[in-house]
Amino acid sequence: MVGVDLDAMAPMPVVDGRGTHGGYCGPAVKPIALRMLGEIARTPDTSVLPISGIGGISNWRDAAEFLVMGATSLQVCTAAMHYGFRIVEDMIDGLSNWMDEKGFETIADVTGRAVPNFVNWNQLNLKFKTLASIDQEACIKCGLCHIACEDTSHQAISKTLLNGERHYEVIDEECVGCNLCAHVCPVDDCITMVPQPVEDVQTWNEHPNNPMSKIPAKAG
Amino acid sequence: MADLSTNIAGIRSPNPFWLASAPPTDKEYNVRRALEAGWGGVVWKTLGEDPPVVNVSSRYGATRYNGQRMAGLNNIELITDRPLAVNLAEIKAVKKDYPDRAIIVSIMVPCVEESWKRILPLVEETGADGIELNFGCPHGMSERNMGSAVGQVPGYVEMVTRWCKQYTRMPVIVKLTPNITNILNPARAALRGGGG
Ligand SMILES: Cc1cc2nc3c(=O)[nH]c(=O)nc-3n(C[C@H](O)[C@H](O)[C@H](O)COP(=O)(O)O)c2cc1C
Ligand SMILES: Cc1cc2nc3c(=O)[nH]c(=O)nc-3n(C[C@H](O)[C@H](O)[C@H](O)COP(=O)(O)O)c2cc1C
Ligand code: SF4
Ligand code: SF4
Repeated sequence: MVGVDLDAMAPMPVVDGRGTHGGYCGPAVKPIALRMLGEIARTPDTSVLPISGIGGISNWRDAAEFLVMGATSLQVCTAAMHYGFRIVEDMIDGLSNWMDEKGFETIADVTGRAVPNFVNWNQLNLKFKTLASIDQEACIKCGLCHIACEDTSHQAISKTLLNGERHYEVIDEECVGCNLCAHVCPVDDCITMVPQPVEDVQTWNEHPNNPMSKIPAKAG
Repeated sequence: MADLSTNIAGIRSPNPFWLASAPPTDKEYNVRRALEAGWGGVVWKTLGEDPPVVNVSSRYGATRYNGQRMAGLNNIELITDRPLAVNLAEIKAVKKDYPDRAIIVSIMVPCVEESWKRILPLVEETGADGIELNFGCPHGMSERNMGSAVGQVPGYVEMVTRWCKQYTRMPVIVKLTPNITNILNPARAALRGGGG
């Protein structure tokens, strides 16, 4: 249900005073579609099914993402209804250029490339760390990153006055690498997340805090 | 230059971009212009049994967020509201003129073997490259025990897929509904129905 008409007191779209639930599509459903696609592609017994990917595909990048997550063909509805049939030209050009850049010759080269990296949470490396980094040249001193981190993350962006100007700085020791500041920053590429060198691999399966793991946790 | 052609379950198209079964593919006039624009294929707007369904006026709702129009689109449209014979004749004419494109026909008829047995040869006769089973439609049709009402019951998915494999040579695409807790259940049912 995309909304309720507060005058008609009915779900939208309103048909003579009443509404119903409908089929939801477009960019908003892409995350759901990708997950479903990936789930079928990575599960051994269903991975043999060829998949026609669908749900929110709006440009060549979405197309590439659906292909690497397991699709062999792609279906588009909302993007064509929004921008017309000729949107396919950009999709074809974009996908083709990207494949050339990456050295992929055929769709079969692309299909499923990312599937082995779609894993369960307990297979992620807990030793990996990424840190926020602010490009002070690009920063417009809006303070959104500070407020976000201060109020709802890890108090890892300090706010000070430097030469009479507001200044925001990441406190590396406090940053847990959650990415929130990078998502809220209104300036593209101003906050980047910098992956730190990885020394070791330890997943939850091997972690001492995991009661199911073989390594016992240290007391205290 | 990368080769964008693709082959899915024996359905070939010059690029992987197909228009999904919906208003863009609901008539010959649209489909011809889409294919001219370069689409690799189309899934024709879902066909059903005659008499055709009736659609309402006022059909789409949209999520607008911070200036982004149609970030999400919600529709309460049903399947094709044109007679079966009209659609079939148009599909045949289009396929004849675009042999290199993927022309797939979406179908939704009641979960009765006779219904599928009746419509499949008619679709096959158009020369279409494959069929897609609309097990996704979550409104209206599901109240009539079709669409997502089928897609949500793996046993029905398997049964109808098996009928389709039995009554047509065309490749079968099973359109899965996301309105389900675990997508693997209907996916496995489709695999079993397809003989896998
Ligand atoms: C107005 C409208 C009508 C649709 N009608 C059908 C239909 O008849 N059969 C079908 O299988 N899917 C139908 N769909 C669903 C689309 O084929 C597609 O699955 C959905 O829009 C998701 O793709 P998108 O995010 O690119 O729009 C319809 C979608 C819209 C917006
Ligand atoms: C980073 C993050 C962590 C969350 N952790 C929990 C949690 O521990 N327990 C819980 O019940 N919900 C958790 N949630 C879900 C939220 O409580 C809430 O249900 C969800 O964000 C939807 O509300 P919203 O759209 O206002 O964000 C979490 C959400 C986020 C974004
Ligand atoms: S990544 Fe998270 S913890 Fe680190 S500075 Fe940004 S908001 Fe704070
Ligand atoms: S959100 Fe971005 S622009 Fe705003 S203060 Fe933080 S780093 Fe600077």
